[in-house]
Amino acid sequence: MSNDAVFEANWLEEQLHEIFGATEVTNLSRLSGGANRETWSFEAITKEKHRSLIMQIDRDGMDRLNGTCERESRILRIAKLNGVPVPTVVASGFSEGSGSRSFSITEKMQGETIARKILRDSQWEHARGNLIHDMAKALAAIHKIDRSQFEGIELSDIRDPLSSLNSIYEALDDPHPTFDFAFRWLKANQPKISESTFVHGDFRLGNLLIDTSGLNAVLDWEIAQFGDPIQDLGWMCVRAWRFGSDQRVAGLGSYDELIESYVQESGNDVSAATLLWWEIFGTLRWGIICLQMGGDFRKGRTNSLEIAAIGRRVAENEYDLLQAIGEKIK
Amino acid sequence: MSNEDMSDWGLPSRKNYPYDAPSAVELIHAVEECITEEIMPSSDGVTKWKLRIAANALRIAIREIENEASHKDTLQTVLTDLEAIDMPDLSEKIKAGHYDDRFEILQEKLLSIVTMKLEVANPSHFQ
Repeated sequence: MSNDAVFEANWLEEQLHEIFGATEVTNLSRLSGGANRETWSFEAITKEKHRSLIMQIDRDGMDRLNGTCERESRILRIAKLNGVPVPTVVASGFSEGSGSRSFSITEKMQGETIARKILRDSQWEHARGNLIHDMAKALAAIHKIDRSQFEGIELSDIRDPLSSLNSIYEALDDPHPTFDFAFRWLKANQPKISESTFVHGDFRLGNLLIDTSGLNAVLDWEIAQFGDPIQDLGWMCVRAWRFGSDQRVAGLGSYDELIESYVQESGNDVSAATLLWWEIFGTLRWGIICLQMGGDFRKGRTNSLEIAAIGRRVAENEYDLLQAIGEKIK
Repeated sequence: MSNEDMSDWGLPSRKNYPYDAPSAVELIHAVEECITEEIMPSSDGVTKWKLRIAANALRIAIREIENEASHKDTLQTVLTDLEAIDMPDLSEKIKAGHYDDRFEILQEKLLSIVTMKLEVANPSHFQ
């Protein structure tokens, strides 16, 4: 076990005792990935059953993100009831003591999340053929969930996405002229905003569990909110989420394929121009998130080298913004 | 005294006076090589993933040190072309609509700045 563990197997055993009865926890190991939280894999052994489980816990010292794992577990339960493929939640709550962090424990599902493997390895070839349709179908199911089901869960409702994003950028107080340029172009070219629905907020490879037939589960709901549903489609087209592939949609296929599947599954109309606006918005958003995450390192909220390095990914997004907007203005 | 041939004992020339060699860049480069060639091959899982990030961070640091002086000169030229004092001033002027009648030129100038940033941060990102 890694020595940066903040909990012990016996703490997990206590959490699971209430649900399963006497439980022995083995093979506790930290998984890589996830900048905002720690993810652990372990086996829970009871008299009757041997379960493979996943625990996620808020990253230490990141007050801005505190509570996200517990909140996510509530969202997962609702998504499951509405036919969205997600892992089953086993337990959730807050760790004890000072610096309490929230956690969730879910069943471990089979499959792959690492985008570069999914996009390149031959074993996922069949899955790749189904993924755009599976992703569009899952998004349609997410966007159809009636908002009244989220009563009691604190979720942002973003009616003016540009000014919401701009207020985050301005609050960071670290001027990036290319971001100002992008805000100005997006403002002048903004399509009509669709009716606000529940949105995942971070729907892309890396946050999706893939099995050999296609999409097995939608993960990482930490920034789910209400807003224009097309933002979820634009987000997965952002270059960072193509992971080096030249295919526009999640590194897998074309705008036409995504639009056709989504329109068929959701009944919502989407134009390529609107999708492109949301892709450019998504690029700006990821750029500002990189700035914010790098800022967590600069302000001493985390000493994570991974987060420090994300600060230097701002430039990739600035470059992509200038390329995309450059094509539109020339 | 021996009669040993000392003709190839001369050390490479250097510029980092008053310090000694290896220079800052050479030291970082040595650490980067030690990580990627000696430590990483025998590591796995989270450790290997962290080492990959560490080695990449060191390569960014090397490129920044090597390019900083010329990039600062270029930045100053671009800012002068855009009648801006510094980057925060350029931001303010864009927000105020100062370049709305020459948005294409602004895009080109910003691209020249961002190209320098990306040459340091991640040159593999250029299409």
